[in-house]
Amino acid sequence: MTLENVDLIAGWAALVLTLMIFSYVLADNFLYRIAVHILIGTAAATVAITIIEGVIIPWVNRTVVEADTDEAGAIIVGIIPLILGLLLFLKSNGLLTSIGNIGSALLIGAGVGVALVGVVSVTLFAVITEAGESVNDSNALDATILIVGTITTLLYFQYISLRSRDGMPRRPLPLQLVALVGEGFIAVTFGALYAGAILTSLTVFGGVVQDQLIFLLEQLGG
Amino acid sequence: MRGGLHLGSALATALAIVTAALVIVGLLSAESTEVAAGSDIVLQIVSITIALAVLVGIWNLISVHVGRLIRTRKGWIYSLITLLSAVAVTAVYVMDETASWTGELEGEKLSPRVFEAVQVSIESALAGLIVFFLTYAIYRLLYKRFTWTSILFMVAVAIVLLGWLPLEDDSLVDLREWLMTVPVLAGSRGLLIGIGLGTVIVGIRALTGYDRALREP
Amino acid sequence: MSDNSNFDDMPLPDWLQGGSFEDDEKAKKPPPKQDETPEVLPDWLTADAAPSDEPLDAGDFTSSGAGYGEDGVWREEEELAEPELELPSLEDLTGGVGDTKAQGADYVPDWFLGLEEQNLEEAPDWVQSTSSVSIDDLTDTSAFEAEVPSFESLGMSSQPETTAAQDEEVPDWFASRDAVPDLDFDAAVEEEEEPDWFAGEVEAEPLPDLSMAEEDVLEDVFSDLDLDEEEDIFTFAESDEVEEADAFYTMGGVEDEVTPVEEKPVFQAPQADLSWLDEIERGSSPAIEEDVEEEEFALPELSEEAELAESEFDFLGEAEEGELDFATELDLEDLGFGDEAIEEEAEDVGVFDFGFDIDSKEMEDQLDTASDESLKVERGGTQKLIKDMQTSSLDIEQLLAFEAEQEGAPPPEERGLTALPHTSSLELASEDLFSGLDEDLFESLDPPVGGEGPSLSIAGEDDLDLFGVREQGTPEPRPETAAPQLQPDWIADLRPDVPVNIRAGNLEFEMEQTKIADMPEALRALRERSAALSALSQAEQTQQASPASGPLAGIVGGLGVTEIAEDLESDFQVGAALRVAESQRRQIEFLESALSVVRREAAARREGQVVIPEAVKVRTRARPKLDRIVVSLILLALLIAPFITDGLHLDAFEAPGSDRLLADQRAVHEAVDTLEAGDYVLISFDYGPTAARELNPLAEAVIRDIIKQGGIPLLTGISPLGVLNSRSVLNDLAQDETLLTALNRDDALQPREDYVALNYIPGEAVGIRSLTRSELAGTTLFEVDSEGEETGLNIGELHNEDVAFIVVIGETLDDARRWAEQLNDDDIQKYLLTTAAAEPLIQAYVDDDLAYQGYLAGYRDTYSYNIARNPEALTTDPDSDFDLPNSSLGRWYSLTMGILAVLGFMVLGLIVNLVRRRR
Repeated sequence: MTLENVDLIAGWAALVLTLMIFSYVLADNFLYRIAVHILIGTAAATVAITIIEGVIIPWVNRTVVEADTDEAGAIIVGIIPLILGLLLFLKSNGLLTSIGNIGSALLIGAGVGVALVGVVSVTLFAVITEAGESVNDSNALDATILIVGTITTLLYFQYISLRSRDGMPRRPLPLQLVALVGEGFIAVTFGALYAGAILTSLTVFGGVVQDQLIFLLEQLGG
Repeated sequence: MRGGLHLGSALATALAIVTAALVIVGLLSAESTEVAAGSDIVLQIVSITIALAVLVGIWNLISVHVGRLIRTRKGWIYSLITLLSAVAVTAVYVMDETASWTGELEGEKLSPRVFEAVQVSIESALAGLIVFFLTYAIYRLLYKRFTWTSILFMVAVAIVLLGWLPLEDDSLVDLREWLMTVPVLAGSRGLLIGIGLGTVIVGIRALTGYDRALREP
Repeated sequence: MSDNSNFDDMPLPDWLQGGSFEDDEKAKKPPPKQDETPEVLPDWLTADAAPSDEPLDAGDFTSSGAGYGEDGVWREEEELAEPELELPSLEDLTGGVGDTKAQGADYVPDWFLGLEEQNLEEAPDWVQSTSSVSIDDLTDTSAFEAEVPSFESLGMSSQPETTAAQDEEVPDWFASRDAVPDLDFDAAVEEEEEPDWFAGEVEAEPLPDLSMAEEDVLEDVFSDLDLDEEEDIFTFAESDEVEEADAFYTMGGVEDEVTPVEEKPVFQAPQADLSWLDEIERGSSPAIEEDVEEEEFALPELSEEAELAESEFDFLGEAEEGELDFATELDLEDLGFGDEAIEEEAEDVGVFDFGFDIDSKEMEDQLDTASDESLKVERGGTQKLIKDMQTSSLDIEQLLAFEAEQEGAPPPEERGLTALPHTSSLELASEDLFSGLDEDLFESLDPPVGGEGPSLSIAGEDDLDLFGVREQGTPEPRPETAAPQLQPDWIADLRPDVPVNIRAGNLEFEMEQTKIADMPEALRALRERSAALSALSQAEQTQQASPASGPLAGIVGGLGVTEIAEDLESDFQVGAALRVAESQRRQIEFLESALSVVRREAAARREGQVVIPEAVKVRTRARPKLDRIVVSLILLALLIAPFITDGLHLDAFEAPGSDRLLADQRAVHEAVDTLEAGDYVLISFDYGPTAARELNPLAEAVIRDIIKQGGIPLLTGISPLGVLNSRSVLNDLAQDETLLTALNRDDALQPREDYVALNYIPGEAVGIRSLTRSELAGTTLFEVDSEGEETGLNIGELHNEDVAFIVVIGETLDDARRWAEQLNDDDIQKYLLTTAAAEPLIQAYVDDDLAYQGYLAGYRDTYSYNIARNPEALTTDPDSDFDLPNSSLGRWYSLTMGILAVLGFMVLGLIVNLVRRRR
């Protein structure tokens, strides 16, 4: 077994697996399912190995194994994630689920805190500020469209309504008009996103065909 | 037991709220403060814990497939294939790490080739399938509903695609550029602000204990 | 056997006991309370009671007890326990003859008072000489005894037992033992289980002659009433054939002018023997006549076109109620019912009769399967009856009059009625029952002409004559019709060119129907099916077995009785196993299987096992979509063809040059140009293998440029698969000959020297944030590479002096947001490499003052960047015997062909759907 043989086998395996996936165009079949399950198995193993090799082992080495004896704090800090990980593992046990929630609580709390700070500082504050400052950088028409588009798009998702005479909740007319304009901007945005998805998928398909074609040429061309 | 279950949920909720508050205050504080230091430690611990959580998820996945294989439930063949694939990849990685290859493969690492041959090819093929469904979907777009938003949607798609082509006439390119930098940008900002507001609301719900993830076992 | 012991002990009322003169004086005092002396004469019999000027209410004569009071308010029976009847006094009834106060065995008129105590011998000679009677005769008071109707005369065989409370309700004249005979109710029960008065066995006076086909049936009955008078509300313009009166409501309209019918009527009035009541009702009393005037019921005259307000017809409700009650007390012959008329005029519409005074015995006979044809409804008559109801709507005039069969009478719509079209009283009575039906419907259910088919009945062969149509004899052959015989009009009415008459109460309006062509397919199928069902041959209907007994006995053409449960072979036993039908057994099995799944999952959950619900695989043979297959094949051909032939390499779509890069794209290579040798560039591979075909070339292009500039890429990522992918990219790039040539190197790029492949950053957003906040996190990441070797990087917390800039390679918006939000240090510049799909959204984060200072997106920017920065990077294909175009060019033109194909299918879909909608 040489390396070229390994590459050859890998190439043929990739071609076969690609064709098995493309068979889904016709209909769902067992070949497609086999390929998907192979992907699941390899991905699970790959991720697990990467995490253990790239995160857990270095962490344990850095905080517990290689720590000095006077660095008790570092040792404790190094052990805590392991304990929390064990608690998370206990969540699969019905009786100890409540104990495992302690680890989940820590994850949720830290995630919420980080997300809130980042969203408020960047997505809300910076983007809104930039939206306002972009008016200066653009001509009047573009600036108007930018401001109106941003506001109407945001207001489209507002569901403030009043109860009409027949008891049905309805938006006030001004809000309906604003939502109508926002709906147009959303349609344009989604259209651009859809076109981008088409471009990406075409690019990926072209890349697959190119790689497999090159492999075939290599095999057939001698 | 019923009372204990409630106590555990209450304790978890309280821990989540305290952690979130500590992180928020620490991130907004100067780095030299003790609160900031505490939050930094918490963040580091949590990041490692998240990695371990991924391992727990993978363990659950394996256990389910093993269980299905042992009980020979419906689809056990696919579970067998999954487990064999995982074992094979693990074996290759182990042999790479332990330099167990012999012959001409000695010192070589086969795991990247396995990764390329299996994962990249399969996932790329899956991504390439999307183009057929996207094309058929836009062909049938007006079958059900014929509204002005659908027309506007199709016009935007056409402009972006035509503007992408390297035509000699730059009018379409300019039009696409204007479309991307003005109306699409306005819509994107509105959407992102809405996403941000939603994230804030979800975070507040977690801070105030309304999150059901910790209240239910 | 009734027990009359209690009755014997009951004190007799005064008027039965006979009063002396002194008693008469006592009678003048206010009547005692009812609970004290239940035998007090009722007010209506007292001389003090003046005849009421208010019109008599039909409810006052009700025997059911419930009815409208004098104030027009409906009262239940108990409320009317003590009706304040304003009936004329007995004195009025008797014309002032006789003393009404005390009528008993010892009653004597005032003028006779004391006479018996007188000595006749002392009477004047003219008395002795003129009187041919003896003194005993003169003193015989038996002539003055009240003629109390006996129970036998009332048709009662026994006297009902009454309680004290009942005594208060029952008139004293009725409660008196002496006045009424013993009524043997038990005997009545034994015989027929209902009072004799209801039995109908008694002889009844014959019903009036109904042999007036051309005229109103009861014209002679109600001829005394002239509805044409203005004060009569039932006068309408179209009343030339309608003349009848509100005799029902006047209660005096029954005349004796009805020609008696010799034959014994089939339906007997339950109160046929209440002749004494008849006398009252016939207005023998002038008091009644003067009370019951037409003016009492006079309602404002209404014009033909006037739309009568509903409130104006409130009396109809009262009248109906009263009428119902009234009808039960009336002699049917008074209403014009007569067997003779039924026999001879079989086609007559019949007499208006609410039909509630049906002889119970006859009713029982009808419900049985007796073959008594005497009560068989004449089909034609019923149909005509219904036709009458169908073709015209409510008309008060006809309500009062019993409309005869109007042969050839035009339908109301032709008469131009708008407000209250002409209708018959029958329609009023039966409008709710038969609204919307048509005679043709019943014709379709009738037996064929000349055949003995099922009768048009709902109660067996012998119909319950709900409309008083007592038509006997053989059914007249149904006039033959053509195809419409099998197609009732109500189906024919579904023709789109014929509007439908819709009646709602007193309103009628026409509504256009939906054209058949416009009807949904499901409705059209239902319509055709209905027509087919109604076209069932009569023979099939006759062959349909009708139940032998039960409420559906004798009914054919109805829904078949389905045995939903198996017959029990044995008597029902408590605790015995239930026997269910096959369908029920299948349902039970299904429910049990569903419950077993739930129980299994619950048990597994209790055991702590992860339950993955089994997906129910439904084997359905999906029909292949032809258009989908065609689109896929065409697209596949256009995408592959540019790799095979350069015929599709259109010059118009030539690959772009470097001038295609816009400002944001140019910022990337401008940043690379600022690199100095040895500068670190942190590159985060945040995408997985799904976007590898698109982002790997882009990442490779930028890294190639960085390396050529002397920079050292630090490869990491927040995704384990991204990090593995990064190693694969660098592995390929490290051995790329074109790059090595550009670097003037022969050996491959070396890790930890030319590039550093780090481990992945755990925790996603938290990990990114900790990079800039935690020394430990930084050292853990940068100290050791993916191979476990020390990198020599002295980086703790990430700051701008540690790296030149950061390149984030992500395929989704979240990948871009994560670094933008968590690493928002103004000193560290970031550039984004993303897919074309995420480009529209990530623009919001790209700006000099924002998270990213520039970006590159998609294959187009990759191609342009390579042309501008890496011209040596164009892929060279391996040599082969096949003359194929360059794969890179093939890939480009494949992309353009794909775009054109998508645009073409979009336009094609637009045209196809437009044409389809227009059809």
